[in-house]
Parts: sequence; C-alpha cells; structure tokens
Amino acid sequence: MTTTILHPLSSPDGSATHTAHGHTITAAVNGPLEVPRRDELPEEATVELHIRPATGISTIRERSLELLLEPTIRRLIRTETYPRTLIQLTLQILRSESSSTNTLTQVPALLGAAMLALLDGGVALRTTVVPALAVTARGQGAVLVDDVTEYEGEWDGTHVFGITGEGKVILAKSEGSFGVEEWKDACAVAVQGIMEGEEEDSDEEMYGDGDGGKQETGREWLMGVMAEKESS
Amino acid sequence: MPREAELSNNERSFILQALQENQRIDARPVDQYRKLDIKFGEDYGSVDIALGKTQIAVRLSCEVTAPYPERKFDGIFIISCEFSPMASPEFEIGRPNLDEILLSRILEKAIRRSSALDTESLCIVAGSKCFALRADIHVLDHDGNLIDAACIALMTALQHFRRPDVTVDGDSVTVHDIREREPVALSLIHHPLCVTFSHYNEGKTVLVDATQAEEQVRDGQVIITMNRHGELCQIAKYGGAAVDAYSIVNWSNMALPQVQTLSELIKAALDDDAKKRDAGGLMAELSAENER
Repeated sequence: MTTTILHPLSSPDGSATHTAHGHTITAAVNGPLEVPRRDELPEEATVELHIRPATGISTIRERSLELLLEPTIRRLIRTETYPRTLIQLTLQILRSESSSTNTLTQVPALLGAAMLALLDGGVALRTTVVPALAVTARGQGAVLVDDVTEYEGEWDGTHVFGITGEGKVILAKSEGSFGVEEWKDACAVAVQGIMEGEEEDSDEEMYGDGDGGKQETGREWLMGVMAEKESS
Repeated sequence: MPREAELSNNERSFILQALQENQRIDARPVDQYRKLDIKFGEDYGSVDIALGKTQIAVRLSCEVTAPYPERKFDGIFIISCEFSPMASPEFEIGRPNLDEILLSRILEKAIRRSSALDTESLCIVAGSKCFALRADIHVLDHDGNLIDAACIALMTALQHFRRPDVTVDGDSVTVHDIREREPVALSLIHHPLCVTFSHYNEGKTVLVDATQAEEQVRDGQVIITMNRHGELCQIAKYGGAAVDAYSIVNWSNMALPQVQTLSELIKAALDDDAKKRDAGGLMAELSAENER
C-alpha cells in the first residue's frame, strides 16, 4: 500500500509522511537556512541529509543510505539559487515491516518521502523524481512492484530506480544476482511504468488501486498528490 | 548554526500582557492541556502522540543480552531521546542542546529512577541473560511542552508494549515468537506523569502545557512528576526566576488532578486499542497474566 500524507508537521517548511513497500517514513525539509561557517559554499546551497532509524542509534546502514540519496537529492535541488545557505532534510523511519528486511526496499520509500517534502516545502527543483522498484528472476522478465510486501513470487535481483520528469534515470541501485540483460529489462520496465503506465497484456502492479481500466502511473501519482495539495 | 526563530519584542510583550490578565493567546484556561491524541502502531510499543502541534513518536524494542555484571538480577532499560532537525532546525545531530539534556535527565529521574518499570522482571537467567529494553523517543514536531508530552508517550508505550515470552530450562532459554505464544506485558509498578508549570510575573501567573511561544517568554519552569495516587516522584526546577516554597506546595496540589485526567485519557486509549486487537475475543484465554 502506498499512502501519502502531505504536511503532517507544522514547524518544518515542508514535510510528508510516505508509506511504500512496508516502510513508513516521515520527511521534513527546512531551508534555506543559515549555514554553519565550515559548511558554507560561496556559490550554492549546502544540502544536508539525515536518516534516522525507528529504533536504535543510526549506524553504518543509515550512513550508506545517506551517501546513496544525498547526491541524488542535491542534483534535484537548484542549489545555485540559494548560495551560502543550508537546505536540511531529515528522514525519520517510523516503521519497517519485519517481512521487508532488505535494505534496498527502503530506498524508494525514502526517496519518495524526500521528494514530497521538497515539493511541499517549495524548494526550487530542477526536476521531480519518482522512485520505482523492480524485481527480476533468473531467466524471466523484470516486474515492477507496487508493494514488495504483497508481491507473490520468488525473485533474485532487486532494483531501485529514480526516474526524473524527463524519463531519465537519476538513481540506480541493485542487489542480488542478475545479468546485464536483466538489469536493462528492469530499467526499461521502471521507466515505462513511471512514464507511460503498463502494457495491456502484462500483469504488473502499479501505484494506486487501479480499479479497472488503465492504472495510474508513478508520474500521475505524484501529480495527483500535488494537485490535492493545490486544491486544499 | 541555524537558530530557532525568536519572538519579536511586540509578540513578547503581547503574550506577557495578556498573561497578566490571565489570558492565553490560544484562549485556553491556564490549567488546561491542549488536545491529546494518542495513536498506536501495529507493533507493540509503537505510540504516536500529538499534544496540540507537538508530535512525539515512541518506539520500544527489546533484545536478549547479558546484564551488567554489577546488577546481575536486573534487566536493562535505556531511554534514548536524541533530537533531530525535524522538530526544529536548532537541533543538531551529535550535539545535544540544553532541551535535549533536560528532557533525558527528567525522563531518567521520573521514569527510570522512580522504578516505574520493574527491571528485575526483565531478568531471564541471573548474571547471564536478560532483556534489554530500549525506548526511542522521536520528537517530530516541537510546539512546546516536550517534557510532559514525552513522558505521556513513554508511559503509554510502556503500558502498550509486550515482550516475547520465554521458557527457561536449566541453562537453555527459549524465546518464543509472538506468533507462537502470546507476548507478555511489562511489569509496571506505578505510572508517573510529568506536569510542567511555567511561571510568569514573579510566580503570580502559572500555566500548564505552555506552547513554544509561551515557553520563550516564561520566567522559569517547575517540573513535577507524580502518579495518579498523588505520590510525588520528583520536583525539578532548573534555573529561571526564584519561586517561593508555598508556590511549589500549591503547584504540587494542582498537579494531581492533571495527572489523573491524563492517566484517564491514556487508559481510555489503551483500552480502545486492546479492544481492536482482541478481535476474536480470545485474548483472555491466550494470556497467562494474573491480575495485579
């Protein structure tokens, strides 16, 4: 189940609570803020990303997720419009379903939450990004999964993609065993699923409930969330 | 270092002048809490509370470890309340600020040192195995009165949490999965809650549940912790203007009805959640607990 609540918090400039693939994340963005002297960049904004686990102190696992997401998010923001300031993003993991132990399945939820918080906070962006999770099994085609906790079937490779508004891949991270062809297939499926929606004859799952007819694409989902914010 | 937006002089004097006339900016009576909303997650010990705009999430977790060598019969209970920039940009990671130190100290005193939780019940095999219970307090949104809100959230979570059941056979210990055996509630000796009194105007005006704006202009605060039977656990006054002894006595009398109301709210929320979980009505049969 993918659910989204925009602006659940009152004090940060932008915030969002996003549930995807069994992970619930609350993201908050503050910025542009005064930047500590040591981090100040003369021609662009400093982007800070913190990921905090639901239980326990943040470990090397969170650091590695931060290192994966921070460059992606920095490239999304028009940092040159905020020179000598700080844009601070905090991603708080509130719940992780025990069945989704794979670290990689957290990435789409984290990226989705961060994206929504940035949009909610009105931070100037170059483009939007929609996360996608695809799985591949050896000798079979790639499948785009809406909710990995409900996905029935065995898979060998897990692939996470961040697809920009132009249909380009800005983030790609994979785990498990797969070949180059399978990866290419997963990438194509992700781009297609986010940009155009699924083909008629496939049984891929998409965002939204999709009660008959063509299902909502990832891009339409993001548009829908923002349109709701506009109208409220 | 980013700083929290401070109140302007006009705002300050407006709030203070209104308080002199016993009026609060949100039109609440001086002794009234904001609306308390308690939500439970699917997992045991996962509680989200909202006190007005202040939002706190508590997550309890436990694992089996070796007890401290000097406390062989006690389990381990850790309260962690690291602030994140989510609540306010002035909170920096890895550099605790005054509020954070104060909150962890108060919770330590109010809940851990007042023995709200019977840590001996967390012991499995003396000297070798015990449960280590960890409470992570996440401040999501900060609009004042973090101490009371965190205390409510933590006490609710402790009452909501269930630890896995264990069987001990000589030296071998079996920890039963939640699906295998009904998990066990923690043994709580009493349920302390904090009430923070913010005082103004040489102690003539006193408020409970101050918002962030009210906290910024107060002369000082006195934190009183007691349980619903009126047993005082601690009184803390960290700095601020002096208050006379009579006020403290007076305020501790005022704290009791507050604690009783809050306890009722917590109990109602817990009962509500227990009813939801007890879908087939089998809970009474599954549980091996005795009424205390």
